[in-house]
Amino acid sequence: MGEYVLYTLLPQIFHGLVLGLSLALIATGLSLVFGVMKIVNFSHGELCMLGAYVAYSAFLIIQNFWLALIFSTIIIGVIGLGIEFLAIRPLYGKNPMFSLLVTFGISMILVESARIIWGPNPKELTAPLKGFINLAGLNYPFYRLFLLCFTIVLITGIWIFLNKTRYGVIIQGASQDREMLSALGFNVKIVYSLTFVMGSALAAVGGIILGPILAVYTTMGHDIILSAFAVVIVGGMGSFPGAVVASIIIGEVESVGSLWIPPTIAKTFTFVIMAIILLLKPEGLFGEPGAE
Amino acid sequence: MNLVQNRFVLVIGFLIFLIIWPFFVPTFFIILATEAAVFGLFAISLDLIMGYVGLVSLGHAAFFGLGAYVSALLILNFKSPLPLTLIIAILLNAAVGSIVGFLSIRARGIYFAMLTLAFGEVIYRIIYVWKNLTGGSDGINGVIPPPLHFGNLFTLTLSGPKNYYFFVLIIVAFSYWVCRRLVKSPFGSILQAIRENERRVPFLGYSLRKYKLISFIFSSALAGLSGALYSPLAGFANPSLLEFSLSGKVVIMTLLGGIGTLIGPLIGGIFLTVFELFIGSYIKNYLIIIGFTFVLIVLFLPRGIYGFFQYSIVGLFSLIKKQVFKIILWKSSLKPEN
Repeated sequence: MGEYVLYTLLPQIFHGLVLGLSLALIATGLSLVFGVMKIVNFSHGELCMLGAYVAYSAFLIIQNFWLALIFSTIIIGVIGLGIEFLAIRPLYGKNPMFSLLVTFGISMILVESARIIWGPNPKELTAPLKGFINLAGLNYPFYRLFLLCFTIVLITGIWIFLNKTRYGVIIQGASQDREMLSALGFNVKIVYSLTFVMGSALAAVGGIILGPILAVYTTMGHDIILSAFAVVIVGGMGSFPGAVVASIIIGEVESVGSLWIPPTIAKTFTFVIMAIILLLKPEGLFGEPGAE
Repeated sequence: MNLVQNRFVLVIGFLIFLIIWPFFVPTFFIILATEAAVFGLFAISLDLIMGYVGLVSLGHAAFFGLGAYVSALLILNFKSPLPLTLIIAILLNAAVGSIVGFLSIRARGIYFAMLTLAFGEVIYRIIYVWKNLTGGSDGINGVIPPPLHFGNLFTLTLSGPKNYYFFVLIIVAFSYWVCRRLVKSPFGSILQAIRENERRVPFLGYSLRKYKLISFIFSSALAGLSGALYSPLAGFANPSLLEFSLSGKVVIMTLLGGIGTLIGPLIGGIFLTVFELFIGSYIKNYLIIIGFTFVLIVLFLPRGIYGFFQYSIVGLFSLIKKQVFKIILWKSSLKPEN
């Protein structure tokens, strides 16, 4: 029994935590964009996918994972800016359904572009840190453990940025009352653009760090966006702590659940949780009641 | 009166055209037309909830695929006659649709879209994993439309493309007529009222959930019907028919043709099917073109092809009328008043 817990259950719990926190990074981006701009970015998963691919190509050239990560994040940020400027800006103030549909079209374009550029075969992004670390008798991959710390630091950083800095407060202001913010002399359009860029960059980082764990393939965005949607629904749209808590729940369900049942079925449990939450508490665990 | 008569003549003429043309073209086009009609029906089914009630479903392919599996299984295992197969597919889809609908309609707007996406994925995964029944990722192959028996009088074979085309044509035309009746009925008016102003409808004494649920069940049953027509045509049913990409495609068809109309999605379905086949044979990554077209349509033509023509023609007429009226007014104002 003790061995089962140590060698089978515990690693899976850790895996779930790593997966969940990486997902939290991605979902935070999605949630931020929704909270501020009232836009559901369907192409968010594809930005993760593209981030991983760009990092893969950059890694082939510069042979340094961290530089590739930074480079790719910047590229995806620029792509995000382009998307916001060309496709989303005309839709501000309209039914959020339109932005969902437009970004759905964009996600199609991005998947096909990736297929044209990188071909249909999955790519492997090599982990920058190899080897295992001994945790009280349990050998755990060093890279995953690193990811655990990395995502926690990054998420805390975002939280501090949003709550404790001037720019973060401006972004929060835009989510609460854009007209007031505009009346105070801030350019709301620029705030929106930067928020979208930040969301895209977060998606890219999430995609890149998950790259070595999952494979890098053209439809990975679809798998990611399904989990991310589940996270924002369970946690509550636009809620930061909600995204983190829900990500960990969903990461654990998918990871621990796949011990006993096939992973494809374990994933459906995510959706079941999502449906239950929507029925019992439609605004999500941490969402504000009455929010649509 | 004149307009109504014109329209009547037009519809009759078009129907006669639809009946006659298969006798003059190669088989390939007949099969293509059948497929286009099936997808047109599928797009209509989505439009009933998307265009009329304002609920965007992102998991509608699940119902299409479910219908396809039902008809494939019944035809292969029980040699069930096609009309019975279609009815069973409709009933089963209505049953599944009522469960999914019951849960999904509690959410609105984007939440509804995400929930249907998730339920679509659940159904997809169940079909995928249930290997004994559905054959897993290989699906079911070798489905041929069984002959139609009219009692002991005579038997009509449906395995030829032409005969199956006529069969599909009849079913699609009948479904179109039923949908049209539904949309024009008081029930349809309430659905459109929900789309226009969801908050006001309950004050008029109508239950939002009831109407949304009924329309969702109807829509999923119709999607199942189109799926059940598809597998005998294609000869297979496999998990790709439930995949998200098909759900996305049917949303594109509906928007491309024009939401909130019945003829629009039919046009969109036919257009996209034909477009895919012809562009797809020249360009490998044609989906990128479809993606761009879709983005442009949402941004610039939110009413789709049909809506655009309808709007521009009607708009043009009213513009001319206004100008003529202005001239008349202007001339009459020139007359000295007495």
